[in-house]
Amino acid sequence: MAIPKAQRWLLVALVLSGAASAVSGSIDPYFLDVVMGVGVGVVLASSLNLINGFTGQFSLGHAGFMAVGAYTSAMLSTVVAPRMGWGAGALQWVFFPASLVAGGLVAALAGLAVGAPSLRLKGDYLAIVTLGFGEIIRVVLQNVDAVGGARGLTGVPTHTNLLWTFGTASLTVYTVWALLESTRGRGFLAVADDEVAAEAMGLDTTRYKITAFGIGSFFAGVAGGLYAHLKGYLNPGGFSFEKSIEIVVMVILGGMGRHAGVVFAAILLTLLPEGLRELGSRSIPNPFGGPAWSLDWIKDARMILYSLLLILLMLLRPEGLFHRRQPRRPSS
Amino acid sequence: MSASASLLQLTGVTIRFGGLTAVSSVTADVREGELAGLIGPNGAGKTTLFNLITGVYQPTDGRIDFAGSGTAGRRPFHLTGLGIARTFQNIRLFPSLSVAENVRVAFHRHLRHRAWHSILRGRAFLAEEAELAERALELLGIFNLERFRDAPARSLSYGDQRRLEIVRALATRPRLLLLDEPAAGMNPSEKDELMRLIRFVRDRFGLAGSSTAGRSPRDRPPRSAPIRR
Repeated sequence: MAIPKAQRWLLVALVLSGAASAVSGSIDPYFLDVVMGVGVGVVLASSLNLINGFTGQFSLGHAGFMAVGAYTSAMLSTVVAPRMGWGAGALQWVFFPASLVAGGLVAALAGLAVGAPSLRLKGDYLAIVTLGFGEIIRVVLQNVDAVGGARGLTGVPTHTNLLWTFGTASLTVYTVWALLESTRGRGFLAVADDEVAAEAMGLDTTRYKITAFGIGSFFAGVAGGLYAHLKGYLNPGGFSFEKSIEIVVMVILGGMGRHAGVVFAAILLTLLPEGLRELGSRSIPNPFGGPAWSLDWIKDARMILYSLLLILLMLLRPEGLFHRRQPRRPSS
Repeated sequence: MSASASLLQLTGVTIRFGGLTAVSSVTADVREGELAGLIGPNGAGKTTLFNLITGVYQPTDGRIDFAGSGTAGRRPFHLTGLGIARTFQNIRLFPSLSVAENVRVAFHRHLRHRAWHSILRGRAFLAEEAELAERALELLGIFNLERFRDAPARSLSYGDQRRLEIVRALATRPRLLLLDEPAAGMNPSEKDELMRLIRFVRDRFGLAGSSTAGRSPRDRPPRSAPIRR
């Protein structure tokens, strides 16, 4: 049976992830860690792109949903799995993805819980509510001792490998793409364009927005699970609003509502800080003789450079690195 | 209820925004297959009345019946599903969608596939998508817009955008089509063309049309209700 083109790409991506995973033993562990971080970033950015890019909502709470998924799946792995004897051997191959999905589902529930009452808010107001939600999650996690409180949750088994990260990343990108690439899916763009006209054409705009929030939060939760089992350690501080903003920046930089652009931006923005760190450990030979110039200062100024690069990119490419949407006509 | 053939029935419809009464006890009806007009000076409340009929606003007083049942408390998308479609005075197409996609989105109430079908992309889903693409083209063809199908909706000329709005409204398979100032910004020959088009739409799709129109008698549908400021 002929497999449709889109699914063929997905299959190729999954097989490649598996193959890469099989040889991952011979890859430098630091490099491997960075590469898997890229995969998690792609999942986060693509899922937020559905909410912020395609559906035109402004969520600043993506790190909150990620945290919900991360803690859910981490607790399943550290508390439930050892007790039931599911954590080891072949069962791990079933239990780990199941715990990722469970984390995603709980995050999706959180997304629906936040989305349903607050989606009558628009623009900045919705951003403030979702920002508040993310902070509430972080503060709660910081104060619940059962999940480690402010000390963080340690001893999470490091199950995450290249197959899981890039398998999930491919599935996320595919799902968001496939969802949009249909007559029903075009409704997400219509809702972003003009809610009044969308309702007049028979589209339940509230339902579209809640669907976007639910699916977006689901994948954020799965990304959280991957992250937890990648680092082996969770700290509530890692899910602050700065993390949310980092994901929003990926979406904006990639060009709101661009599939490939956002994936590219996620890769770039995850590698950039690491690249600058690497650069900081080098030195350049002094052309005038004497001791070589150390680039050690880059290590300290890393985040400043990162911010400057972002500002530059926004000044030069305000529509994102890739853009499809033309600037909107000013509303009359 | 009056005559059984009455499709839309307005009874003492009133809406107040704070101290301002924008529409004051309008009573009117539109029968099945009829062309009716709504005329009045600027600010008389013609568009507001359309917004009341389509559920954008809820009347403060009075009631609106469509096809024999009250529309109170129903949201616009629900009323569209029941068979009320509209165009907008200031054109409201979806700028980030292509011409054909603008029409396809309006098939929404009649879609068979669900969201997960688009992820699985099975045979039935792809068949329906192909069928919808064809139907969109067919509708566009009737209005001579099919050559623009892949162009962004915003790139069309003003007159073509107005016609695309009508096509998009027709794609929802309405029983009642509300055209808000369809002749705005048109010259006399374009207006004649528009009147011909509206009659054609009525005959071809067998629906009632109601439009707000200009003041000269030639622009008006045969039966027009005036409303005053």
